[in-house]
Order: sequence, then structure tokens, then C-alpha cells
Amino acid sequence: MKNKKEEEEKEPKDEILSRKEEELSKFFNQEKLKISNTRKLYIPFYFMILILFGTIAYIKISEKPLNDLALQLAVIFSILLIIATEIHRIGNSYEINNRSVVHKKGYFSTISKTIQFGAISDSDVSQNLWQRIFRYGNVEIHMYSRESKSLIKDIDKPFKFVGFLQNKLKASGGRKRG
Amino acid sequence: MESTQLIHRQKKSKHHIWMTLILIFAGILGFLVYTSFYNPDLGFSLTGNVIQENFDETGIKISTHVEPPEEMTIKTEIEKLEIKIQETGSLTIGKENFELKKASLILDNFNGKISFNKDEIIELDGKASKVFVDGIPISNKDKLEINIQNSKYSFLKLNNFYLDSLSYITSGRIKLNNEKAIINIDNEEFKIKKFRGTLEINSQELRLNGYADESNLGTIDVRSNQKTVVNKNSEETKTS
Repeated sequence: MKNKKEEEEKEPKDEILSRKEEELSKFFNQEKLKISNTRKLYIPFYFMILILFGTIAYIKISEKPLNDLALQLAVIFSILLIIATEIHRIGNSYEINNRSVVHKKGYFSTISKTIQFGAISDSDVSQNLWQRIFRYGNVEIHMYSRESKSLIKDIDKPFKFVGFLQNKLKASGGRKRG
Repeated sequence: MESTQLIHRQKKSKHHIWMTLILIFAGILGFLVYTSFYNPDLGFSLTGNVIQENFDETGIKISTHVEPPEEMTIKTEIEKLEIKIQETGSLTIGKENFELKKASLILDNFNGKISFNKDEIIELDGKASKVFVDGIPISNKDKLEINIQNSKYSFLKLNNFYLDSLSYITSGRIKLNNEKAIINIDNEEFKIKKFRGTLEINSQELRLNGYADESNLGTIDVRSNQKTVVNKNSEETKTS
């Protein structure tokens, strides 16, 4: 009886694990990985909007006079803030394909920086406390030839990004240190 | 050196953006809170100056002599509340219970809830900075808690208070903008929005004196920002 129960309990755990493995293998077997800045970067701005609308809701509930001009200002400020964050987000995009890492920057005229796998020596992930709490961070890609590095800023799940990069480096036979 | 200067400048401009955003946010939040909790007149006078030209005070000046609603509940701050009680049901001021047959009550800076119909104060519950019973002041260091229940009254006046909206079917006479327009309604809808002023119930009549942003009087809509009176039936538009 006990064995049966244990088996029944094990089955869903195994299922979850296998599903996760599948998802990971799907992720790592992608041809390209294209990402931009995470929206988590704008949490303080979203928090401002939340405070404004929370205050408006409280004023309405407590039946206090709600000034039309103040309401309009709050709505306009919130809309502009959301638009600005989205525009800022579009400004940077990062792509890992089978040969290189590409960083595109700009809105109307764009600057594209390509780092071939052969030039990459290693990569670091850096996160401050805020970034650790919300699971995003920066990735530094170091290069052999030049004493320079490329900074991929404020991306979601940076360790997964680095894992994908390492995977692609392995697959392409590019040099790798750590 | 050049690159460090560039990074320094970028950081500086980022800080400027942050500071500007926080200042704008704090300004809007402050304006919202101040105009709602501390000085509602400031907000109305500001918007009034932007939108209107003709009204010295903001909104439509309204004065009513109509039948009171069956029951009304107001939860707000009232500068001065005057009541002439005919028969006390229950009256508690601070921790003391009063048993009075007839009394005149004045509450300064009342903040709370009042429910009433044309004859009776169903419930009054809140705090006041000063309470006068038949002219005798009852004071306390803090605000005095006051509770009245089921007390008949002959006179009720709420001075300088804000009413978000009021809507019911009634009959009577409504004067707009210093009697420039007088409207008689007979069992028709009476609706006002964002009223600031005085409410008085005396001898079965509701008198409102003050300013409202919007009013619906039977078939007539009046809006302060458009400065027009629109008759829904005839679709005539008159500028007030």
C-alpha cells in the first residue's frame, strides 16, 4: 500500500521535472534568442502609478472631493510614463544566434554591434540587491582581442541568457574559459 | 579620462531624469491629496479659472426650495452643523449621555456621517472640534465624539460642506446664477454633482445654496464648464 502511495506521489513530481527539462531543452535548442530590457526595470515607475491610482480610489471611497485637474494630471502622467518606459525598452535589443551576439541600439537610426563567438573569452553576471529580488541583471561579455567588454544591461533571467550563450559557444566550437 | 567623463555625464543626466520624475509625481500626488483632504476650494478655483470666465465663484450658482428626499446620508466634513432638536432619542457627547426634550446643537468642524429624513435624524456619528448645547460650550483637548440617534428635529443646517452627488425625484423651485434662470420642477428628477455650499431643512423644505459643477433639473441639463442650458425636449440651447 505504502509503495503504491509513494509511486503515486512520485509521478506528478517526475512529470513536473520532465516538463521543466523539456522546456529547458526547447529553450537551449532555439536557433536565436532575442531579448530586450526587462519591464521589471520600470517597477519604481509602475509603483508611482499604483500610488496615484490608489490615492484616487481612496478619495472616491471616502467620498472626498476629487479635483478634475488633479485627476487629469494623474492620468496623463501615468500614460506618458508607460509610453516612455515602452519606448526606452524598444531602444535596446540583444540577440544570440549561431555565430554571434548582436546588440542593437537606437530608435530611428540604429547602431548594431556584433561580437563573433570567436572573440568571446568569458562572461559575467552582475546583480545588485534590487535586481536579485526581481530576478534580472546585467551580463558582461569579455573579449580576447581587445581589452574591452560588452555590457548587456537589465535583462530578465541573466543566468539563463549566459547558459544559452555558453551552449551556443559549445555548439559552434568557439573558445571558452568559464 | 574622456570615457570616465562620459560615464559621469550619463549618470548625472540619469539622476536629473529621476529627480524630475519624482518631483512631478510628488507634485501631482500632493495636489491630489491637498485638494481632496485639506483645501477643496483651491482645486475648484484653479480649474474654474482655467475653464470659466463668467462665474466669480466656480461652478453654477444654485439655490433650491424643493421637497426633501425620503432619506439622505452625508459622510463628509462640515464647517458648522446646526440642529434644533424637538425630541431626543439618544444623544452622546464625549462619554456623557444627554436626555433633553428640546435642544439647540451647534457642532463646529464636524467630521463624520449624518443620516436624516425630513423629520428625524436617524444617525449622526462623528467628531467635532467644538460642541454647543443651548449655547453652552462643551470643550475637550481633542475632538469631541458625538452620536445622535433617532431624534426628531425642526431645523437642520449644514454650513460649508461638499456633496459629491445628490439625485432624487422631487418638486419645487430652483434658481440658477442669481435668479437668471428659475426652473420649476414637478415630480421630476433633481440631480446635482460636486456641490459646495449650505444645506438647510426647515419646515419640510430642502434649501441648497452654493455652487455645483453639474445639475440635472427635470428635462434640463446644466453644466458649469460649457456655460449652457440645454433643454432635452426642445433641443434648444441657451447660453447663460
